[in-house]
This record gives sequence, C-alpha cells and structure tokens, in this order.
Amino acid sequence: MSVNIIFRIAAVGILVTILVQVLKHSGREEQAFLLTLAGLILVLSWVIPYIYDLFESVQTLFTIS
Amino acid sequence: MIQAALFGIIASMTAMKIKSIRPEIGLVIGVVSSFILAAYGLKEMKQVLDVFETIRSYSGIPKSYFQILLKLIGISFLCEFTSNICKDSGQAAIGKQIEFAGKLSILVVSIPIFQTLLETVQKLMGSGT
Repeated sequence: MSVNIIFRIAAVGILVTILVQVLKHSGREEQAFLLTLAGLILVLSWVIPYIYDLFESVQTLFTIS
Repeated sequence: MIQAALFGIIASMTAMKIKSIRPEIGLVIGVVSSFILAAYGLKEMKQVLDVFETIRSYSGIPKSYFQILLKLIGISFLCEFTSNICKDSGQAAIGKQIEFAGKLSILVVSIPIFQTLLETVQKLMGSGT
C-alpha cells in the first residue's frame, strides 16, 4: 500500500513534460517524441511487478491453473 | 480499509493532475493504483477462503465442486477488473470483449457440474426406457 510508486510515476510525468517543452522550444521535435516514449517505457517497467504480483496471487488464491 | 481509501483518493488526485499534462502517464497511474488496491483486497480475501475451507471439510462436500466454485469467483473477478480498466482507458470495445471471454470461460469451467447434474437426474429417473 505504498504511495511512493504513485508519486514516482507522477514525478517522471512532470519531468518528461518539462523536458519536452525545452526540447520543443530548441527546435528538436524528434528528441521530444523519443523522450516521451522513454518516459512511458520507464514508467511501464515500474508497473509490471505490481501487475505480476496481482495475477500471481489470483492464480494461487483461486487455484486457477 | 482506511489505508485503501486514502490510497485511492491520493492516486485519483495525482492521476487527474497528471492526465492534464501527460495523458498516457496519467492513465498508467490509474492502472497501477487499481492493481495495488486489488492486491490489497485479495490479501483480505485469503482469510475468508481459509474459513470456507474448514467449513467445507466438515460438511463433506467433495473438494472438486468447491474448486470449481473458486475458479468461477476468480474468473469473474479478473474479467470484471480488466474490463473496467479497459473502459477507463477509453477502450470500451476491448472491455466488452474481455467480458464476453470471461462469460465463455465461466461456462467452460462449469461444464462438469452440468454433467454430474444430468447423470444424477438420469439415475433418479432410472433411465426409463
């Protein structure tokens, strides 16, 4: 029930937004897009353990094969 | 329980805020907080299932029926959970498909029960040819 995962994801979101603005203003549109992708992939990599835990506990709890 | 409620409020606030800046990361926040809350709820459910297990062992109902019952509960929980997440992210069609697949798998899992029911009826009727 730790809330810090939420705040970490929020921090990444805000950081990505600021950096994208900076890159946009300095004329590098492609890097801005790549940075958005990188931020999203980083956040997803944090999320996957939680998803795995939930499906694991559902499988063991309800004896689904 | 209070912890879960507080966690939910905080998560939805941050998700709303982040959604205005970065829609896709706001969505991820919503998804991960619902996963965490679901995991928390399932831990509570473990004790309930253990009590059911002891009651079942006294009552002598065969274990296979109880296992099928548990599977049904698990399937309905998962299918409801994932279809709501898909609806949250705006993909109502995918959510509906998941619900449809969930109903089908529930039917598939409960086939043995239908068979035993028909067999008992057959026995009762003495297969009156």
